[in-house]
Amino acid sequence: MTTLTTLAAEVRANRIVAGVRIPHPVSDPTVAPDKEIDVRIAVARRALDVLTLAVEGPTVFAVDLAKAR
Amino acid sequence: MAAARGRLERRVFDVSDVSFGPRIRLAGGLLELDRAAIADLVLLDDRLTRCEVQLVSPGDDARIVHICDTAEPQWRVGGGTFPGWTSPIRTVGDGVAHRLRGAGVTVCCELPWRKTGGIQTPRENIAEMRGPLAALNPLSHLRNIVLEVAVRDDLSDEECDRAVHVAELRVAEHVAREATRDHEPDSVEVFELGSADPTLPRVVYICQITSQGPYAATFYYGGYLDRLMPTIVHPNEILDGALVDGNIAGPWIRTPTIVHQNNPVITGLYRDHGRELYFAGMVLLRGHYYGMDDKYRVAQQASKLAGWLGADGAVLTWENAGNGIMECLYTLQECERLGIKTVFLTWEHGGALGDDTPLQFYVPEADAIVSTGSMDEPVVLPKVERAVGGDTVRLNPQLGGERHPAVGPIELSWRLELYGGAGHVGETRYGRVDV
Repeated sequence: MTTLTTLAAEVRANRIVAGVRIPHPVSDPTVAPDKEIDVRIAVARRALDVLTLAVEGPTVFAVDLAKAR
Repeated sequence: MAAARGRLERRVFDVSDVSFGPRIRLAGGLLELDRAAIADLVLLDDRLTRCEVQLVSPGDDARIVHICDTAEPQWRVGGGTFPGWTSPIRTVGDGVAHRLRGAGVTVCCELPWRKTGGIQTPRENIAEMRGPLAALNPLSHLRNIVLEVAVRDDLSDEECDRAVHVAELRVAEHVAREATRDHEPDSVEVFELGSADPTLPRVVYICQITSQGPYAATFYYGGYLDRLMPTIVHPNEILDGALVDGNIAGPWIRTPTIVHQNNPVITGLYRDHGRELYFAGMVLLRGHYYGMDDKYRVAQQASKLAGWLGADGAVLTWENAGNGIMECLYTLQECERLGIKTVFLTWEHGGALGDDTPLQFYVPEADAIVSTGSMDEPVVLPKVERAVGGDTVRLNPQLGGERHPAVGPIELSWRLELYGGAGHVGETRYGRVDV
C-alpha cells in the first residue's frame, strides 16, 4: 500500500494498492475522525480483496473512496 | 487576449567588476558600492540586527555559506520593482526595467533551527566559487554582493523568512536604480508575445514550483503560493520579478530568484518564437501536495489551461524533490491525452554510483526527457582561504545538527547542500561534474 506506485512496481511488488496521501497512504487526517475510520477500512479491505486476485507481475489497484469520504 | 499584449523592455547594464567606493555608480562595467550605506539600508528593518556587506568574485578562493537567496539587481523605471516586497502589489511584465547583468545580491543568514529534520528546515546552502563544483551554481560567474545578516531572536519563522528577502530585494532595487538611473544601457532586450506565423507549432511552458510554508516557499507578488491552483501567467511577469524563491530547505533543487528572473526556458522559447515555434504562454502550478486527489486536481487544471492556450506542445519543468514529481508527470500525462506533445526537464537520483533508480515516479507518456543533473554522489569540498556568509556550516539537521568550519574541507554524503546545483530549468551549464 503506497502512493509511489511506480517505485513499488520497480521492486516487483505484485499487488500494489494506490494510497491516499503521501504521508498517510492508508488514511486521510483531513476528514472527520468517524469518517477517517471508513477510509482506513476501505483501503485495508481493498488490500485484502486483491490478495485473492491472480496477477501477472506488478499490478496497481485503485481504491474507491467515494463512499468512505 | 489581453495577457498577450505585455511588452517588457529590459535595458541591460553589464557588470564586469565590483568594488567598494564612496557612492553607488557604474562606469565602464565597474560597479562601485558604498558599503556603509548599503548596510544602513538593510538595517532600516528592525527585524535585522546585523548587516555586513562582502564582495565575492569569480575565481576567488572562497565559498559562500548560509545562503538564503540571490536576486539580480533590477529596477522598474515606472515603479513596481519586486511587487509585494519593495513596491505595492501590481502586475509587472510590461514597461521598462533596468537589470545589472553579471551581478547578484545574495543574502546570507544563519536562520534558527526550530523544526530540525522536517521539510521546513532551513538547510545549509553552499556555493563554491572555484574548482570544478563552481560551474554547478549560479553565483560562480557573478560579481556577488553578499549581505551577511542576523535576525532578531524573537521572530517567528515567517518573519525571518520575510526579513531576509526584504533585505535582499531592497538592496537589489536600490543598487540597480542608483547605478543606472539616467544612464544609457549596453544593450536592450524586448520580450513580447503575439504576432508570429500562426502555422508554427504553439508551445506552452508549464512551470511547476514548490511552496510549503516558511523556508520551503515560493512567493508570488510577495505572498506564499502554498495553495495555488494552476494559473496562466505571462512569462514576462516571471522575468520581471513576480516570483521570489524561498526554498532554503532544498538548496540543490531550488530555483534562486535570479534564475526565475532569467529563466532560460522562457528566454529560449522567446528566442525561437516566430522562427521555429509560436510561444503561446505559460502555466504556473505548485507541486508536492500530500493528497493524491490534489495531485490529480492540479494536473487536470494545468493541462486544461495549456489546452486553452492552444498548445500543440509543452515544456514541463519542476523544482524540489520527492513526490513533487508526481504533479508534473500527471500533468504531462494529461497533456499527451489531450494531444499536446511534451518534453520533461528533470534532475535525477541514480544513487552514489549512478546505477540506481533515477526517478521516484514516472509515466509511460514521458518519453522525451532532458536531464539537468544528479544529486546523489558524495563529494568533498576542498579547503578555501575565505568563507563568506558565516564561519561554520550546519549539516545533518535530522541528527540534531553538526557544525564544521566553513573554510573546509567539508564532506557531503550527497549534494543536497550545494546551492542551485540541479538547475531544473538548465540555468547552469552542467548537471554533474566529477571531482
